[in-house]
Amino acid sequence: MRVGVWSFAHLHAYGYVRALRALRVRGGIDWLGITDEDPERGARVARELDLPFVEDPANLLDRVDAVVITSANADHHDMALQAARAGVHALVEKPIATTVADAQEMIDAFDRAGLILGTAFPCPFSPAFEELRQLVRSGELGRVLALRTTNRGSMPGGFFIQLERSGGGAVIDHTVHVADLLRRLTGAEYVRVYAEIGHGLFHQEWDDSGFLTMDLSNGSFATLDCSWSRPKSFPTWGDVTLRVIGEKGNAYADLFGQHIHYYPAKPEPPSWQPWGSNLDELMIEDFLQAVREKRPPRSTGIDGLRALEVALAAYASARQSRAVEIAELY
Amino acid sequence: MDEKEPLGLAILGAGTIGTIHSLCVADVPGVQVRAVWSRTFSRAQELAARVGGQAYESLEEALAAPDVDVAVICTPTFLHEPHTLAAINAGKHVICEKPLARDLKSAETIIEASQKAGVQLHVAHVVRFFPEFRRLHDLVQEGVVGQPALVRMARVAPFPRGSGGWHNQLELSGGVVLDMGIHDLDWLLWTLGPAERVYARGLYSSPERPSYLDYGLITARFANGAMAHVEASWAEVGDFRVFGEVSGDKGLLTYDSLNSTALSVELRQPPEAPGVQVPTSYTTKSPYALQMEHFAACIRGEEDPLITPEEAFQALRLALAALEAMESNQPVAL
Repeated sequence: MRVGVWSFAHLHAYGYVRALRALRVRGGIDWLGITDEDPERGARVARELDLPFVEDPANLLDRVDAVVITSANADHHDMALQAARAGVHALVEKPIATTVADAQEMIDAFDRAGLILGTAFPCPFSPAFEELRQLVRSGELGRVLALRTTNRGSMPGGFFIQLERSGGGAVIDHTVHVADLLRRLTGAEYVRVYAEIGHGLFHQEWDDSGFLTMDLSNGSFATLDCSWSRPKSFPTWGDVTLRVIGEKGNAYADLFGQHIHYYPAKPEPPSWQPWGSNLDELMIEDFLQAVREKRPPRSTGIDGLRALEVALAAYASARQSRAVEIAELY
Repeated sequence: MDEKEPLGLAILGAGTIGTIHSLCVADVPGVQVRAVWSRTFSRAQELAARVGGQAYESLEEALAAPDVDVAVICTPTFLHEPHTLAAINAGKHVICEKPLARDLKSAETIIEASQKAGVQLHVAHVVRFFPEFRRLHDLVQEGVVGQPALVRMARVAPFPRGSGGWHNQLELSGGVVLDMGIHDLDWLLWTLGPAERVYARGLYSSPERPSYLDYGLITARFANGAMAHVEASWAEVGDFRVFGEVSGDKGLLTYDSLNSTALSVELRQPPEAPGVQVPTSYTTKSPYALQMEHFAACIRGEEDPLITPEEAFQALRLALAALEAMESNQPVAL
């Protein structure tokens, strides 16, 4: 299989290239190349990573079976549609798009063309999450009553703080991972979202913090802290944590909690060195396998859309200072 | 009052919190337990035997006991109004366990009665006397995180097994939000100033709530722009645990009782856990003793109250608004 990576606007592109390379070593990828809407960045990254750089995205699409799209959020839509027209399967970075209409159009285009569309959600591949999901689904924790979750991080800069390219700040960036995980965990869908959204950490037009409260169709409720509240001195990039309150017991998952503390001799902040499974690699492998087997990947376009709905409902809620039903987005 | 004479307490209610307030008196100079009353006389006798003073079968007799200056109301939340009013009518100063009352009307009645009678009313929002929460408050006030923007608080414990199971009758106790969450809501009001609106979800009033389990998640917005997330749990299997985190435009403060303790002990044959868990601080004086010392100093006119009845009223108002939001599916403006 020949695979391309389109755009290095999102830092996750580097992790995906590492994962693709590891898979190439193990066989299954015949060709790996990159393109970028910013030719200068593309050429530089190609040199750094020692990968072929194809300046015109159309030429890259002609050469590959599948493409990983890691551009700014607002560019996902046009790039994905271009890939679909070229008959290329696509794994799109999260959030899948910045509007419901864009996401729906992407889903429809890939469906019509008989192509695979995936959303880049690595967290479902976490072994700890899978164990938690089985505990919930098997009924061992009893009925799920409540969930308290976080997906916090550092302020990433770049396109993330250019609203026309990102579609929003911390809330659109950090809502979708957990929004997706809770659907998988409970098998339920979102009914209602309330959000407090803040600008108090950086005092900019983009939101830097959010506390979401969500009602699910199984009668449970959840909160999510999606803030960019980890300072640059924090020992790691952030977290994904899920606390489950069940009728028969509680569970707590800290998806990136497997780490070693590192304290440098120099007066620099300590850091956490992770040792958990490489979720990017598991996700990319699943997507490529899905393409080969012509089956849906773990995270489809629909999964991407359902998660996006929660972020968009949160913005609508904060604008109107009231709880918003998901149905109101349509 | 003669300053050489110790301040005499009548302890009303001999459950978990009545016992804690009575025991801490040993560390508070110039205060003595003179009378103990409980709805169950044998419990009053047991407590009186431990802390001194006389056990009484009737509330009126306990309040009329010789040299009683202050009534300490440690009965269940729904009884705070009648017991506080009885103490005020007997001309006693009052220390009332939090929450001040089960509803705002009762709280107003209590505050007005104390003002009319000219007696002092202190509400035991003891978290303000816990050294870690005092320090967290002070650090925020000193500006180490700049302007506070996000606060996360958590107070989680197993479901309390208080006498008669009154905690489980949420219409009597107000559930975990009114009993536990109110501590953090008070800390937030103390640290951030007035709240603008609150939204909450919880098992309170849910027909699906399993008996002896309650859980609430609250978000609130404050007039200074800060927002807060509060977890209040009576759904724990493990021990009492508290958590506090403040993010501001200049930094982050974070505290978790789980990894901030000076002593842990594991017995191979542990004693049975108490019916109602309270946190332990390994400090020279317990937060309850510091609180009692402060209230005694206020009553002697030596200190100004760290928490006023109006502040206790506002904490109650915010907690009740959270309960209202759980039922209305919409944020409640304050």
